[in-house]
Amino acid sequence: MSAGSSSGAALTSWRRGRVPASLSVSALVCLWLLESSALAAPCENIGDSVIITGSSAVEPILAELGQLLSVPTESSDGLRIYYQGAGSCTGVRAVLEPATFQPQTLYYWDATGSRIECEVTTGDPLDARIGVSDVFPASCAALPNGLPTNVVDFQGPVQAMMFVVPKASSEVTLSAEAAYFIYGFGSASGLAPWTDESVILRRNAESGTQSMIAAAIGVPASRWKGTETSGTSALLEALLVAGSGRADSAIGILSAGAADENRATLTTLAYQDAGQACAVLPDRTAQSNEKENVRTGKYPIWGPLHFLTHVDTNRRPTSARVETVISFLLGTSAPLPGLDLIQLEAAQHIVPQCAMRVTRSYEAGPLEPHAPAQPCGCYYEAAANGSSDCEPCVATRDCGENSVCSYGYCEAL
Amino acid sequence: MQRISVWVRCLLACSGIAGCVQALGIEEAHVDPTFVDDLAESSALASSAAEGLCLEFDKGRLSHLLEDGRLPPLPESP
Repeated sequence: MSAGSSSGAALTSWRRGRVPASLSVSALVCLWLLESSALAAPCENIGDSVIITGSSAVEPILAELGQLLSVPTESSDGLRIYYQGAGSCTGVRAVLEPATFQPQTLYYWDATGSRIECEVTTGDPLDARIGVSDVFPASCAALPNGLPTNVVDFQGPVQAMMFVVPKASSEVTLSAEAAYFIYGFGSASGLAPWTDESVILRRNAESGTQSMIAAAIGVPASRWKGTETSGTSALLEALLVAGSGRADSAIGILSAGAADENRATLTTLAYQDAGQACAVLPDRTAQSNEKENVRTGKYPIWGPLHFLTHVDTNRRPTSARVETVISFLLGTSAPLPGLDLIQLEAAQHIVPQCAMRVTRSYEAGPLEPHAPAQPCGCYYEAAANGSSDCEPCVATRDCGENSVCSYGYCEAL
Repeated sequence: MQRISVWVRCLLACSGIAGCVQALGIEEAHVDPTFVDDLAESSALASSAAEGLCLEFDKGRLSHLLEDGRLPPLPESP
């Protein structure tokens, strides 16, 4: 609970029309100023914590992880994760250009799971940090020689980006070429019904969603036409408004998490890449959640979440605390009691690397086969859809030839 | 890597393994069998798509916008 919460509650009640008659306007202004200056307590022990900034896609996972790690154990006093939601490219810059990272406030999660805001004090050590991005660093910064040698991009779960239209729209597919005209030319696209720039909705060049789709359709993120929206919520609201009256003309872009959570009001367009004869949805059907076409590479607009941090000459994070957090985020360390990362990722509509059958090494780049050491495609599918057609197993001897028992299911090798 | 990319695109284009081998002019024996296995499921789905389940964006809607069959350059930034 922030220090200002009680005065905040009082202000809220006044805003509901219960302002005492005896209070003057100047007194209210003074109280408002008091409220503003006492919004949050100082961030504590920031030098013993880990600071994460960038894409909001990772926030639900950080909330779970932050809560579990903050609980003291016999061997640890607990580890606090501080977080600042920002654009993907802000996350990249926070590591590549450390001086640009000057947060005023951060959030953390306490042992009860409450999300708490705190104020950064001048001089607080902010070095143990991770920059999170939906897109490859080269989509945010000029890196002709790759990342500096003291920075590593640890790649985590995969996220798909989508084109969406209001439910009332009659459109169900989109091709890469059509998207090029819509977002490259706006009102002058010449491609009916998407010729009204006021309802061709986009984010901005800092957005991971826009940057990833930009690479896929060949329109640089900085040159997109359409109406900029301030974030996912604003874009969703604008699509809803357009849905009553201008549904066919409206189109927007969202991450899988936002699109899938709003299927009642939005339609995700099946996407047909250049040279692809079929338009495909990220999932097997418009109702399912297993991201099969992402995992096999048939749906092309996807990429891993990127966790950037500073490393030593052995390519290990310079901060042991950062290394701990990254290992949990990647699922490479022993799982924390109470945290099923694959279940959590399925609930957030992102795909763990162990469920992927293809990989890529740059934005919208060519696909290569991916054979995870401990595949989890079936377990992920069961988590995402509520069931799986895969054969359950206890040991590999229960499975057929060329398959292995992994996470309780027979997985093809 | 380029060949893999072409191969994947070919599979995704509903032509299946046999179609890709023919279209790319490569010997089936030269295709990495591991890779083919990895994408067998995609191929099967692609084949079913070719049998009528293929959702396709109507390219006729774009034909009047293309210049000699190609995408025109983006407009200059204001």
